[in-house]
Amino acid sequence: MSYIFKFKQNDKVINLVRTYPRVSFAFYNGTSSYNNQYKLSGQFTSSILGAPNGYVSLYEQNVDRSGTLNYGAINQLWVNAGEPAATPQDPFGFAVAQETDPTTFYQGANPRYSTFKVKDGTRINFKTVSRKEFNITPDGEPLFKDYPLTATVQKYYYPAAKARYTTSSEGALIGNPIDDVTGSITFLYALKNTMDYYKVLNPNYAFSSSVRDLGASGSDGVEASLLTIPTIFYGDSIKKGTVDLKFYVTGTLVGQLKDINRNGDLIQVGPSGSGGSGSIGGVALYTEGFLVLTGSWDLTAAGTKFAPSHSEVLTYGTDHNFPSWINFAQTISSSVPPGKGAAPLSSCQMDFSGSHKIPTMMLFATAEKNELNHSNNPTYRDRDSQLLITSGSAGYIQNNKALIKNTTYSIYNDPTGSFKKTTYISKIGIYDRNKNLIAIAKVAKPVKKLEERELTFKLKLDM
Amino acid sequence: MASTFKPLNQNDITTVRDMLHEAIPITGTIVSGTYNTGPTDHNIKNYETGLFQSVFDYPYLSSSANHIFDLTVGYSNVSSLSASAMVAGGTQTNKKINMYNEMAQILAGFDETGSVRRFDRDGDLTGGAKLDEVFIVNFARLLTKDEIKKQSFSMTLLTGSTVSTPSLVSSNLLIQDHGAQTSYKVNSPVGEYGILYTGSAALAGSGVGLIYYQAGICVLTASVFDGPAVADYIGNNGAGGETVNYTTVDDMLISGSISGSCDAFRNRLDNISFNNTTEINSTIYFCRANFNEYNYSSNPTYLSQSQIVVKTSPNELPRAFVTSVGLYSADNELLAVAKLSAPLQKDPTDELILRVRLDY
Repeated sequence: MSYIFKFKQNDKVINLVRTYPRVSFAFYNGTSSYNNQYKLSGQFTSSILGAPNGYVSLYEQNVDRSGTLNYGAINQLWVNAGEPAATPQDPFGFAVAQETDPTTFYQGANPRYSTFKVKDGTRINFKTVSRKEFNITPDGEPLFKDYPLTATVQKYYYPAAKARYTTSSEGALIGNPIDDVTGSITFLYALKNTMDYYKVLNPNYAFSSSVRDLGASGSDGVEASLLTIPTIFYGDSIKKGTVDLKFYVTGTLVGQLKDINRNGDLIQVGPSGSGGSGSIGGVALYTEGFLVLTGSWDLTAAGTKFAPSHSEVLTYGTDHNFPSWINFAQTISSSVPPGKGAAPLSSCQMDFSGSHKIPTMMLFATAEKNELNHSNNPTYRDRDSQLLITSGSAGYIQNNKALIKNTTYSIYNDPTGSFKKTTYISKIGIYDRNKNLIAIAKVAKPVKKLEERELTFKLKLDM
Repeated sequence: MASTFKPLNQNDITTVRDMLHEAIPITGTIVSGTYNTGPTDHNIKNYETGLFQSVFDYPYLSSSANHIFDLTVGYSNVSSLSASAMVAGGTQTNKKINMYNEMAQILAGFDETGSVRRFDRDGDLTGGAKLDEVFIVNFARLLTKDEIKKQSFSMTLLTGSTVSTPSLVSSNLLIQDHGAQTSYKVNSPVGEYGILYTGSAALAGSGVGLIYYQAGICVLTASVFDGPAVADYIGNNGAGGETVNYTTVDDMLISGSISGSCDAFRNRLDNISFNNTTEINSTIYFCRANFNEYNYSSNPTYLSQSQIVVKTSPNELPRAFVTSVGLYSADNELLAVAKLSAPLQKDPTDELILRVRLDY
């Protein structure tokens, strides 16, 4: 307590721990599974985390909750109180103001949390609330976002005929803040600059080249697919060379893509005798977490080991109905037309390793001999030895002969052993250069410190 | 590509504070009964010390479970229960007094003599009634975040019961922090707190508890379970193997264990709801591009054969497209980059102010 020493140069070691979490996704019949996990059912829900298979629930905050807050009931109460119908009110603040039991607003068992923000002059908004909705919300009213927040791998399919962007144009009421501006670009087209950035490393990253133009549509266009992998699954980046895509038909492996050269090219490496073996089926953007798949050949084409060409019963929902890299994981795509895309005879597997860096700092805190042998802790003194002699207008006088409690071990309770200055170190504080306490390390149990002992504590801080 | 630096002066930088809230419902189904497959609730953790119990939102052996609050009971050493407990050989008497004192010294502090202040019913520390027998609900930081939002706290308790069916309650008691938006108290060492009432028309001094907003702790007088009749059977209803149902809450506080009393409280808890608050502090940098600035770029794609590619004829004004704003430290180290959703055209006929917000 209250001793501050400066760390010497050799007392600090800064390291970088690199981890490679293994990630596996399986896709079948419109669903995916992440690392072979299945959703757990609870008392109130079929999935305690509130997320389907293949999703991660961020923060895992609403466990086994199924209900919601019924804003309709809140508004009705608001109207009953003589107020005009309005956007949903802050539910629990409203309940207190109206002296109402908040369970009146519960819909279903065990409602989930929801987050809200009162609109004010800061113009801070939820990403999921459109600018238009934000603009028409009056100041002082809440904007809501429901939980849980989830993340998963998604698949997008772009037919050759599909325009990759639509030109923007302002709405009918120019200058009106509540009027939306139309126009959009596809996720694929949004990657144009990113892909071109990497083409110096590998020409196959080029968004547009003499071989293909991913930005074109119509007669010049090519089919393409995009798999998006949220960063929560891999950390800083996907580890180069670890992406492994497998395409199965009726349980038989008909194609495998790997980045064997570790340059982003996803090359078909197997199985032996498969259609298109050795060809490049797409590229991987490792830092950004995207796989752009362009291989449109039939993996079961005539003349290959897996002939005759396989045709899906319910189709993939794309422009062709045979297994290809374009159709990889297509069953989870939201762009599949209704009634199509189930492809019940096909399944896909995606494996990769993430790459995550954890900076760590190791600190060696040394208690030298003859140091840290006194404590200001009140229990350090003998209980019967008063510290305060007098206090008043004349001054504050402490007893300079206050006795220290003798804790030296003896086989007898009384008398105790010969006095030795003994302290017990229970925690170590880390201070910045301005002597602000920034961290505390606690030991599992207090460590005995005698004058003749030198102790070194190893502290590790993950950042 | 950063090529032009412009210092930001004090008129270009401002700080703002914004509040994000969550509506937190905690139903009675979570805190008792649902995860019970025998004598114990699997989402309730009792400790060897017996000083308090922890409540989770799911069986705590699951990695998905979240700790939602801790629960304990206590009474002050000047409470009538304290004397009765000493005489009657009460259970965990010293521990209950210690728990009261520990929470009171943190939440209410010390008086001028150095003694621990008792919880005050109306927050006026100069006198008045005290809360000497209390249930204490200490919410997890996960739920309260920076603080509980004032005038949003509600707790519903089931009060009254009969001898034959101790768990059959006769009425719901709704407790809320009415008027706390404007009349909260600030004389606590842990920040602001409000008084809990059973109705908005309640008179000052009739509070039944205190809610400490920043600390996230609710202190509730045990007298809320005092029914109009003398007998108001309360107990842990078999939870934890204890099957005693006491005649009054005072009997329970004297003779019941802390964990048993907490079990009884949980069985009577119908609902808790509140809004939490997270404070978002932001610095806003107004980056101003005057009419004669930032009209040229040193980006390699800006020129082609010594001609500006975005100009179609030599007579046109020079122009550039702003795509990002870099924030640099005093010694020109790049600290942050703000990107525009679409490039913004800049020419000598325009001035731009780009508002860059940095959240902490």
